[in-house]
Amino acid sequence: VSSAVELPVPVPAAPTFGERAEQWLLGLPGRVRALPYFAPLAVVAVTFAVNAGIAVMLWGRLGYGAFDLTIFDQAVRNYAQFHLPYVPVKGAYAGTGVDFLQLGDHFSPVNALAAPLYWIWPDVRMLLLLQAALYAAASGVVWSYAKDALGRVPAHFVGVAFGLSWGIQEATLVGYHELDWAVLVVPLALRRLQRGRPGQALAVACSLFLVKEEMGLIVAVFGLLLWLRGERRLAVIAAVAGVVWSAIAITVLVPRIGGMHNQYWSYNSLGANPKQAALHVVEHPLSTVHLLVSTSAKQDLLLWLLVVSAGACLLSPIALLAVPPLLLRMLSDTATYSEPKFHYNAPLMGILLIAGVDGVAKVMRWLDGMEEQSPGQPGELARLFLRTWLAAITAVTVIGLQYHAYDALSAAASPAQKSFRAAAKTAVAMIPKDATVEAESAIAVPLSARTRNLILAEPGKPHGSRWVVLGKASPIDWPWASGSQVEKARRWYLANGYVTRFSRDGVYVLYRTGPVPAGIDNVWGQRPQ
Amino acid sequence: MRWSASLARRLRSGATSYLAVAFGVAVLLYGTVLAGSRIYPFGSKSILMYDMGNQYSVFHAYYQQVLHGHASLLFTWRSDLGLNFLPLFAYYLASPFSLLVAFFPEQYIPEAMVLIILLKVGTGASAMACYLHRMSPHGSRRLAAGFAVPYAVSAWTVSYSFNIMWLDALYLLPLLLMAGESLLRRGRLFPLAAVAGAAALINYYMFGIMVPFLVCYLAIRYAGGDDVVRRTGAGRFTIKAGAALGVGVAIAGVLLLPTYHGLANGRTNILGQDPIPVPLPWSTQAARLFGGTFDWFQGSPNLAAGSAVLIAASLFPFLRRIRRRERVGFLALAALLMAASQNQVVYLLFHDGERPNAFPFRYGFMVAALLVMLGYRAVAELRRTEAATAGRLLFRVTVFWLGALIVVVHFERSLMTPYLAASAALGLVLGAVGIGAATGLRRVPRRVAARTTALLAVILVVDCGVAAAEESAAMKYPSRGTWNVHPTADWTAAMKSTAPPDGQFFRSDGLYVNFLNGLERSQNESLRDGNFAQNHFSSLSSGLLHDAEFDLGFTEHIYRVWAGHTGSTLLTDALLDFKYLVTTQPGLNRADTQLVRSWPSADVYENTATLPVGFLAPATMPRELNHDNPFTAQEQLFDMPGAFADPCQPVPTVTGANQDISPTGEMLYTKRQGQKKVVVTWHCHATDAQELYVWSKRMPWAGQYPGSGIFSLRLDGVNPVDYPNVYDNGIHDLGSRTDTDFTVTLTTALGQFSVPQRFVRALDVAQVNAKVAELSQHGLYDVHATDTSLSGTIDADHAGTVFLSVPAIKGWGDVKVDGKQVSPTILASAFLGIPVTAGHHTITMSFSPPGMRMGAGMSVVGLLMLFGLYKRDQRGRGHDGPRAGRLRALLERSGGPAASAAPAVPDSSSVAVTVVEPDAEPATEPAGESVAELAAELASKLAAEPASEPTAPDGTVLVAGVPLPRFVLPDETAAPVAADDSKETQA
Repeated sequence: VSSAVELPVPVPAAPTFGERAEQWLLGLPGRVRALPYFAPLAVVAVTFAVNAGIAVMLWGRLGYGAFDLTIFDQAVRNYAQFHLPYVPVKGAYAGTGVDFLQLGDHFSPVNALAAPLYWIWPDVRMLLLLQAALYAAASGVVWSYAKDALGRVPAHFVGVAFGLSWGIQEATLVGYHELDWAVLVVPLALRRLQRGRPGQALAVACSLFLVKEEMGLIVAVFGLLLWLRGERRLAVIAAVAGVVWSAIAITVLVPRIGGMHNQYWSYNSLGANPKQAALHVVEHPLSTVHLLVSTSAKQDLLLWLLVVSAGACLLSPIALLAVPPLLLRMLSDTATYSEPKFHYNAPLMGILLIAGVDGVAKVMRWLDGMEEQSPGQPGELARLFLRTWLAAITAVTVIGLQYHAYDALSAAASPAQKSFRAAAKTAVAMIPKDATVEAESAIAVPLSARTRNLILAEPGKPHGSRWVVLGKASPIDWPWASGSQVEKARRWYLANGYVTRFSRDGVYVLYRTGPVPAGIDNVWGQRPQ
Repeated sequence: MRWSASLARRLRSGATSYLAVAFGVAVLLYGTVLAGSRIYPFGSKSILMYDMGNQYSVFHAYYQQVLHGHASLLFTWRSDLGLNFLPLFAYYLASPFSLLVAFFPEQYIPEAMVLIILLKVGTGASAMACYLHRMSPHGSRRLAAGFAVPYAVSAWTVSYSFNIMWLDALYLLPLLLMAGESLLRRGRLFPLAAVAGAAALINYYMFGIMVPFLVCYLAIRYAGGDDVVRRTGAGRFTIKAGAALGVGVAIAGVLLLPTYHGLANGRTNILGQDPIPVPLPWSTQAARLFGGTFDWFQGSPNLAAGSAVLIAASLFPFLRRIRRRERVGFLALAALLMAASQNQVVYLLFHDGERPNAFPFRYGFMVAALLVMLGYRAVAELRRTEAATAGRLLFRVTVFWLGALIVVVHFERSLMTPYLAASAALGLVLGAVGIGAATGLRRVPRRVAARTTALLAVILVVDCGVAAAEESAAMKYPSRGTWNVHPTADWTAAMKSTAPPDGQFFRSDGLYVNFLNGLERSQNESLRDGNFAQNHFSSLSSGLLHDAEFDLGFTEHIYRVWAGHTGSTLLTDALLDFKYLVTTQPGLNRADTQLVRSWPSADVYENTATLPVGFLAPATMPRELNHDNPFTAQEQLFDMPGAFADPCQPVPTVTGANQDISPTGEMLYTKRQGQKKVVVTWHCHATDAQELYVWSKRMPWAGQYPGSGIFSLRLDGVNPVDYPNVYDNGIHDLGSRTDTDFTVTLTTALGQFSVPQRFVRALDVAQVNAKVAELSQHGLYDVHATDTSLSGTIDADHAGTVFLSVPAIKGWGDVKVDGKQVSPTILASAFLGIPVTAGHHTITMSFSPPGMRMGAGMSVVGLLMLFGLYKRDQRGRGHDGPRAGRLRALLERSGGPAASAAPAVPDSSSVAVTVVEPDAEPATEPAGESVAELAAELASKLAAEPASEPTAPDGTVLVAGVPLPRFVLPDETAAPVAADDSKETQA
């Protein structure tokens, strides 16, 4: 007889704290990924972190110039104090006085939206953080657009490709501008259109009127997109409103507020005024077309705009949104407009990438149709096309990072430049609060938060400020083109009542002890200095 | 002839139209690129870059005169004092395209050369398209054209197109490969021997560069090729291939042997002088694979054929439909070509074992060739690969190259500009998309498939066109005016006016010393202008002569590949019979000259103290010149000891430096600290009329690059000249002075330098004139010169040796005195000496390029052997009959027993079969074998296939998504076939 031997049933031991902690940690990534909106938030976070990081690094290297960061700082600072957006730095430079309004420079009341940030911390760096935040928010919108068009995983690539695109980096390298709002607004409008809300889309697009005067032309082209979607009435409204608004803003508002006519007319190769330019375009269409690609910088720019979406943007009418601002720049005589640099290209990144997404989606549908795939189930060829496109835009993003942010940040600073920075920081600390200063461009930016007003010192045009800060080895080469100009200006100041308060490593702090020298344009007038 | 009938049939059928398309597109593309670079008539630029301006254009101008009957191909008096021209023809002019210069007036020779370049490029594209299509009949003809254009307009072509004679390689390489295929597939020796012979004749140098590639190719194809390759034993195959190449070399003997003698006669090391510029950083080499990159200093190889081709070529090693041995073999060949920029031995292997002087990495076109060869085959096979696998492969390859581009951008910023990086990225992506569309769309109508194929072809062409435009934009084309203005507007007219009339003999040359790579004056201009001159520049210059010229104090290149008249003295001008001297400045300060002709910007002076081309040499004339000092050499030559007197005080005055004597006995100057410049002044006195010279052979940078602007030399403190410099490094003529004090001043900023003692010399003019008159008494008269001969009469009062100012180059074997053959000797290191007895003598001599007769014999033997090979091939065709190779391979792939046992069937029993491959063109292939049986076998196999196999709308059977060929019986061949590149008739 066999007797059953009852074996003890093993009782699972309770996990120790360490084991529980380990399991929790191991499961953390999965839980994080499972969080709602994790992916878009991750894209947003990456975009913000990278662009804010670039901004912080550049700030530490005195890499921002007073034109244009100080302009916006002064405008927003005044908004924050419920004043009109005076920008003395621009007014003194333009010769219109320190009471010059930023709205007379460009009609961009949207800057007032940044004022609350100055209530928290009235520092220029808030504008840089705002800029990064706007880009980050836009990357989230682009992600959403791509998710609905191509799927979730491709959206990650598209979102990051936008957030780190070369146009965004270049804009980050020059600091906050009003156009940064367009970077967000345009994708938002396109997203509403994608969601089938044309009315909302038009409303969002019309907010571009507050960004800059020529943005109305983008709204007008937005009307074309509405037309293609069958929204004829809204399309006409958008087209008319956009054109009319831009015409009013350019010809009435900005000149009236700023007191300067034709200050941005840079189309002399077409004609002396818009009428002549239009006639020239009609009479000489070929030379006008040639003007679009007449320099290697323009060719560079066009190519780099094309590769942002690996060329796929050409397959979508959305890309037409980029045409008005691009035409205005490419036909201009101002070389800086047509280079793949500065902030001008930031709004185009979103437009072109979304156009690329749209184009890729079209091609995928076409391929599936050709291969008789059932809708919603992309075939092998369509998937291959999509993956190749994603690889391409990723590669272009990485290459763009190398040419733009990496080059700007990795440029090895010479010992002289490092010494210059240290000396500049000392010089900034020397200037008393609310003093009037004429400062070299790079040093003017950190001074902006502390000094009551700030004037950029332009070679040969002193403005009668109490303090003058000059720098020889500035990372910003405008308006001072060379060290010899600095030296020439320093001698002039010393010969006209200024004394040296600080001099080290090419940085000079000069102080005026007496009255404003005769014969110079004292922009401060009788104001206390 | 069967082949001509076949060709006519193909032309009529339009099956060869893709060749014309490839030709036209390549010509149009590169022509547009050149027009975009503002080459005349689309701008003011010309292609006369570097040696094109200095040498090739002038050689072509001379060739035009040869073709018009005004000059000889064998010999010319116009250059190098008498030049064996045949080796120059063999290297620079033997291309059949060069004949086109005959139809152009001289002033449009640069345009003729542009046309020749374009024609060579177009022919290269056409030949490559033909090869590609033959290699992969699965592919489409238009795609073959699309791949061929990037090969023909590759980075190598754009960067080196000014080396016009190399461009023949563009079409010779595909022709060689096709001939090799004929040997591989059909065992025919005749095509390979014939093409090898033609290649060696057209450009032996590039043929030599291509041979290692060809050998590797044959080995790879033999070992790993597909079923159409006949394997008759490796040893036997090697012997056959070697024999074919040997016959080819023999055919070219008529040019090869004279060239060998010409090279051996040259001063340059036959294996070159320049250092081998390897190893290169891998990142640099990788960067040069992307289209558009350009290395201004030619420090890296031109490898690119656009960027899109990279994607296609990279698929090749992973396509399992191609035999592994072949894939590995071609991969190894690619690695070998890449290794040529890493390893000296491999570099030499692809350069004929020679180190090129300038313009290195001449094998670049073969990399482009390999890229398109592999790329085309890969695309052709990819469409037959399972869709998912093909897609995965294509994606991975694309990602790899995008990653490589990122790495290259990081490491090679100077080569990879932002524009190029963007265009390369776009090229890669478009290439991938194009390949994906052309190979991935498998269920679409044939018309759509054909369009996607055409799209890929367009992508390839546009991609390479953009790259070529970028490369061309980076090149610095000189002005078109350099052809007509040399160096002033009237220079050429003045030079031409000094050309001797028919039969007469005298020499003339220019005194303008700044050659500047031919931009101002070509070192070969006399070939064009017709005067008998000394200037010459080519790697085939006479070494003996140039050494002698160096010893006599003439300016010389560091490698002695060119020598000019610069450095002449009254004595050398008399010796070499320089009757006229051309200047750009009025008022020539030189003794024994008088102005005879004048233009606004050029003057011609006659030298009144010259000797005839031959004269009875003084008994003391040395056989070997003094190598140490040109003044001494000239004094010994004329038996005038001490003629070049020192007119100055022994020690010059110096400011800014310490003066010392160097260990070699020269004056050594060391600049004092804090001094900016050193001034050395010689205080001198001229007695009577004297011609003044300085010479500074051992001074720094004399005769070496860059060597300009280091010293400034003044006579009496005026008219500073840059001496010594690279174009003026021999004896320098300061002009004449008569019974006066003068100073010579040398200024430099160098820290340390040395100057020979007795730096300044004075030659007594009266003494020279007396010597010339004495020697002229026994000079050659009644001189008659033809293009290849010279004759004259001499009255010798004593037995001796007649000095002829004719270089003693090989080829003057036929020298007769009074009709009797004599053996000439060498006088003054490099000149002909003819022994004569006392009395009245007639001397005649004629030139025949050395090696030409034996070479001609070799060529005749080679041609006979070639004829034998032709007859052998004909017999072979009769015995085994051509195989239906592709058909056989198809059957084997489909699992059948193949046609191995298929008996030979006479042509008369062949069955006409039309093979129609959807989206591709089946190729013509003679079906001497029992094609009917094969067709029946295949048809039965197809019939036995499961019914589940899908069928395309047009009825094409699809296996795994791949359309199989459709066999149409003879009755069906009458029906037109829809797809334009799917027509084929197989008989």
